[in-house]
Amino acid sequence: MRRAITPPADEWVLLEEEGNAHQLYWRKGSLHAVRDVTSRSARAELYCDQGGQRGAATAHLAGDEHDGQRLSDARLAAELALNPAYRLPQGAADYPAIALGDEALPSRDALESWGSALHRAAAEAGVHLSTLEVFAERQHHQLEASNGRSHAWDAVHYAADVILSCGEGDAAVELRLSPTSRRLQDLLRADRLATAAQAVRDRGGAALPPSGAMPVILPAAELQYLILVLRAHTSAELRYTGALQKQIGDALIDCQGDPLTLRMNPLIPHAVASRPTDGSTVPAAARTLIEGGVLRAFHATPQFAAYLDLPPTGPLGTLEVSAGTSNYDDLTAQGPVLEVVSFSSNMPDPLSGDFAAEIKMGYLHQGGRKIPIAQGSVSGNVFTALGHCRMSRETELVDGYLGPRWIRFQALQVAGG
Amino acid sequence: MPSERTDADARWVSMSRSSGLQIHASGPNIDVTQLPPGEGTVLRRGGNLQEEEALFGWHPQWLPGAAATERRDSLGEQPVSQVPLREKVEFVRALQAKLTGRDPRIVQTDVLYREVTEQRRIATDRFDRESRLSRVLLFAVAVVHDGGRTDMNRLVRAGSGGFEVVSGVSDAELDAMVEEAVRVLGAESIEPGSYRVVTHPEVSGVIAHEAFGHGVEMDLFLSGRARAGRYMGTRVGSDLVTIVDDPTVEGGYGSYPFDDDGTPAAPHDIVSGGILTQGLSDAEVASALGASGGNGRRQDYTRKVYPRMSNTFFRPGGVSVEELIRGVDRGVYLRQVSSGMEDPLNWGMQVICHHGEEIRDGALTGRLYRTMPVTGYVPEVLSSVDGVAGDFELTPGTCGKGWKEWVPVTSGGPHLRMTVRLG
Repeated sequence: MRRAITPPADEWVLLEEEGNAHQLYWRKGSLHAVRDVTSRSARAELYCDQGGQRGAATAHLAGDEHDGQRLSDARLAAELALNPAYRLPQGAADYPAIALGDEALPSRDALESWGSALHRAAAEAGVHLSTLEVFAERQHHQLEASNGRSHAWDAVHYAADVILSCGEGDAAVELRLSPTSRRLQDLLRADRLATAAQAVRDRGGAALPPSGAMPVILPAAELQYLILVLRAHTSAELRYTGALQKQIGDALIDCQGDPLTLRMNPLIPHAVASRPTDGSTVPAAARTLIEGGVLRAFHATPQFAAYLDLPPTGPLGTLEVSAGTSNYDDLTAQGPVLEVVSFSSNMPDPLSGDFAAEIKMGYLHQGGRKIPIAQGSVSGNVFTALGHCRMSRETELVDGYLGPRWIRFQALQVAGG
Repeated sequence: MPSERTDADARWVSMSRSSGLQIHASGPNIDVTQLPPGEGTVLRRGGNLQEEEALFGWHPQWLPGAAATERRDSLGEQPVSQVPLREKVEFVRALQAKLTGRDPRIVQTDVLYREVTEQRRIATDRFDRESRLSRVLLFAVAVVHDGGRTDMNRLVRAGSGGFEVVSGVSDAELDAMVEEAVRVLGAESIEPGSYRVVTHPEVSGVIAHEAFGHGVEMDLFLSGRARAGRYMGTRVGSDLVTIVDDPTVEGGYGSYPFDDDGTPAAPHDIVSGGILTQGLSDAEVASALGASGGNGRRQDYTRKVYPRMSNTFFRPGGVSVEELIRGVDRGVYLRQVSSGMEDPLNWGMQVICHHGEEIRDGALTGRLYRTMPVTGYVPEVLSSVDGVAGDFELTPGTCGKGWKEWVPVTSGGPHLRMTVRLG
């Protein structure tokens, strides 16, 4: 594509991506739209040294006659945005071979068949799909850098937007699933569909939860958002820029319950967050970030690694939380316990860790009964909550999270009836 | 290579490309990034199954003529292309310098400047329209820490136009932003319950957006996912409630001259005097439901067009903000939003407010609350609106349909008074 151009910089990284995608859209069981997409991007990171400092700027190349100007503009930008010096990693790199999805992009017909099968499975589970959207893309990635490192890899990515529905008119209820995967077989597993379908069927008769502080169980699909707060608090960039105050060796979480250990892992086969490298040219490697609640490492680009005298860590990958020892029955015992199936949306504050979310669907475990509940809200603080929790032995991979399938938090604030 | 088109194909071609820049100063670090050009051509074939072929690159060979027959430019009084990069970098640095050191509890300051100029051309057998539009965004954040908690506040300026959109941030605005960030450090959790509230325009706007913005995106009518599809013409709010979506707002961050189907932009009264009046549609949905279209938007050429909002707001009324607050014995002034989510099927509403302030006996008390879920049944909430101020403000944002299909929008309106559930 653009390898003939050498960016005008002291160091540079060129990352090119070409993609082909199919997109299919169903409405009330009928396929109503299809799209075939080709995409291409070439991102050049330029590093320019001046007066003992380094400026960095990004240019996006289009493969046309204007690329030279784009690179010149980027060089000017780099000269205007100077930071303390750092360098790209030097020497040869050994990039891991990671399986990143199906061998080939399925045909549109194959995806249509998958969608039809999902509609049938939903019907068998007593629900229907108001809408279904499926996105399948294969991308080729090519990395080249001034430090002599280069690597190429292919990856496939699937995403779906699934609206499960039950009932008619004003009595209709729905639940949204937004699964992602690298293999079509993993996109929406039968057990996940069954759990969601049951929740939708139960939603119609759901009541408000009681109010007060109580144990709350969150599933992996919601835990992934809480764990993003820890991603922020283990960021070398945020540490350097002053948003974080903790040092390596400090306790991030005061673990009074199950100890929390968090790893970054870009090597898991077929995980959506896995990749052999990123624009830093650092090879993918797993690393412990938090151990027993104690900060053990920051994830860092070469720039912020240099500033904090740390090793650069490469692509973040999947955030892995260590499993616990409890099973589902252990976690739902000693009620009342609120088990959330899904929030309407869940966006914890990345700095304070505060969160509040409306319950889309859940269950109250009390006196041996499992009572459907909906609406109301759960609020708390991620750091406090993770310090007083029990984790399941069973784990689940959901998007960029691999960890306990359920976590029971000792006491979160529930607002209901 | 683009596939061959036949005479039976519906002739519809859309081309888009953009140039953009982002300057981000975070603490002592500064980055400059050219934004991806997002250059693509979409060929659409109609019929029972809508088919699109979306190709990387600008492919003018599919266009009917060398030049469009209609052209609209919205580049502002001070087009960003005419402001040197050096001046933009210095602007960001200077703003960050003014912010830093304003309070000893500030641990990090962040200033982000972003400009995107998009060129679009959409051609069919019936029209050939082209536009160039710039959107500019400024985001300034102060992160504060008091030895225990960390929190933040932000100031946002954005719109369609030129560099004039973001220039002129005053010292008074920065002082107010920092003061509020520090006050929020001491904010408490609120006792869950039903409250009378006065909403800042930012909060009013997100209520409009989540309640009857998403709720009237008419593709949801076709899939049976929107209760509004069965309740057009019915009362859903008090007489004081009028909610509008208007892509023609001068300088609106969500504005455009024609949508991504090529339909000219036009305002829509969604709720008029409390009556649910009309929805928002793209060309496909408009054809199916006899609507007017004009709200078809896509994230970029790699994504499909859907009915989307643009600038969505409550129309202002005539009372003062002070009068609204005086009318509350015990309640909360909801000041700032963290996030929101729609529920078009059940007319639920979820907005998470970042912070608010207690009202007692018609006055603000200085006691702050943080992280408040605002929920309720939309018609009940809108029917409880008994005060609409005369002020007006729009807040920029990025809107998703679920967790994808991101487009720039604004939401807002005046201060309102209503009853909601908090906590």
